[in-house]
Amino acid sequence: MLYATALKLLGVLGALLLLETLFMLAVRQMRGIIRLYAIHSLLLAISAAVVGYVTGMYHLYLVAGLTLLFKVLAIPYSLERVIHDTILEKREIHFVFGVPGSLLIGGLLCLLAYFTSIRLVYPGDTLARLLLSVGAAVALLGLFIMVGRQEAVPQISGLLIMENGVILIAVVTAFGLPLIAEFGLFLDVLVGALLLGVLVMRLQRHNETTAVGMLRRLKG
Amino acid sequence: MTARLLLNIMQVLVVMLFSPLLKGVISRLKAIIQSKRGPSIWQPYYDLYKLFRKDEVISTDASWIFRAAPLVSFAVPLLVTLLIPVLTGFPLTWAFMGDMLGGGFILSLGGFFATLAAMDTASPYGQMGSSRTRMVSFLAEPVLMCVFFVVSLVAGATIPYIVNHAWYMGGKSVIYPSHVLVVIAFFMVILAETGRIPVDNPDGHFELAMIDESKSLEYSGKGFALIKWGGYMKLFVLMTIFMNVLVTPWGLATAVTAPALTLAVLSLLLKMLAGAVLIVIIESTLAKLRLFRVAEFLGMAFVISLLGLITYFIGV
Repeated sequence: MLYATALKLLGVLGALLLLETLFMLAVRQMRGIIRLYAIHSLLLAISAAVVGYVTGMYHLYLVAGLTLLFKVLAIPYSLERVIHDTILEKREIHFVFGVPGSLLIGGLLCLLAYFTSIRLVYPGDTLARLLLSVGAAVALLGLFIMVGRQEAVPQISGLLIMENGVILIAVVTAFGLPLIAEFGLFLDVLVGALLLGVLVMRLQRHNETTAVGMLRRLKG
Repeated sequence: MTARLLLNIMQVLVVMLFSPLLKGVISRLKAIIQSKRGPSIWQPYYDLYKLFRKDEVISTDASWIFRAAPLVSFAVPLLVTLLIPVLTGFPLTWAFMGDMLGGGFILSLGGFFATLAAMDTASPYGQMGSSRTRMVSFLAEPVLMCVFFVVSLVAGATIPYIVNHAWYMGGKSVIYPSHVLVVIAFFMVILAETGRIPVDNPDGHFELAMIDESKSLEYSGKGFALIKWGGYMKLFVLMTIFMNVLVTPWGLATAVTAPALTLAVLSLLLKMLAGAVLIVIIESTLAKLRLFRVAEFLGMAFVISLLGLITYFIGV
């Protein structure tokens, strides 16, 4: 009974993750993007914990805890601290395709992810059927967020979202990586996010804008 | 047979009597969140009472459409009430007269007449408002279609009573990925169709920014009262469909006894209170979107409902 409820919960969590990613596709405020990323990671952490409960792989609880620590708290906090207010306060972000266009493309990407990943699933594998397609869709949408924005901060968030999708795929198919690799991965992401934040700051100081879509050539 | 007829009439009466209360509760809760005291929850009733006693002023150039529109927009939500489970879990006399699509058509008939009436007096604000309303509702249409597709696929029918039954008795789970997505999309459409905040500001009195309100600018007295009441009922009916058919299909009367029916009325009011709290939270935390951002809001709803549909087909 509890097992079946947990599986249902996983389905709903998958739907919410997808929803959250779509919201990130449409949001225009930079601070909003970082907050949404925190919620996204929270959903990922809960999913990992539930998968851990369903499969009895208890080290997934640790993955959930690490996600909570690094991606819900540390990365959003440090991004907000590192990136100066002048960048975050700017409210409008330029979209390459416009919001309705991005949403439609996002929907198509979800379809692509669904129809390809459903073929990869072993027939009896309920867990993978529930979440593999969601993970693939989240990764593709993250890639699209990176491509479709002309601002540095949303591009960072796109990268982080993509990474979340990959983690979700790893959790549902391979039940996570070995613990030591997991630690390395989380530290990598943290350091990567921090470095990107610093780069954005340098960009701002150098060019007085972070609209990287406007950059045409490299300067010395 | 007569019992079912009486129950049908009772459902209509419940919608008529309690719909201003929903509006009053929403306004009061909103005022409380904004740390104001706010008007009494009975204020919409006072407003209607006052308006019904006032004289009506109608332009000499207005045609019969202008006089008919308030009646139509008052009657339309009541017609839809005949089709949906408001109090009882079992189908009533006119339950099979039309399905969800039929209900959607009837509701859009009301919108159509309101639009015509707003253009009838040739007031510039009315025309602007009606063209905006049309824009919002044609953007909402595909979302509704997708929602109905998913619902009919899951329940095997589009009759609201059968859908309710499928979720209540048939063991179909309400906690389902596609269902969650569809519920969210449908709620976004309700917000858009009844002119609530991310799309339109129901408390705004600035004519240039109005969408839904501007259609009734030319009305006064009884006609205005009917239009207002029709608006309250439309919100109430849509929330009833949302709650009783999609989100919480429980708590409906299964027998024709006085206690069961009282319980059903109480549970309906509780559900409406929950809906009111949800709307108030949304209205107090979000700002009204610029007109051309409405397409983004409803585009989001469309993509969500489409994903719901696909999720259902993939069988996740």
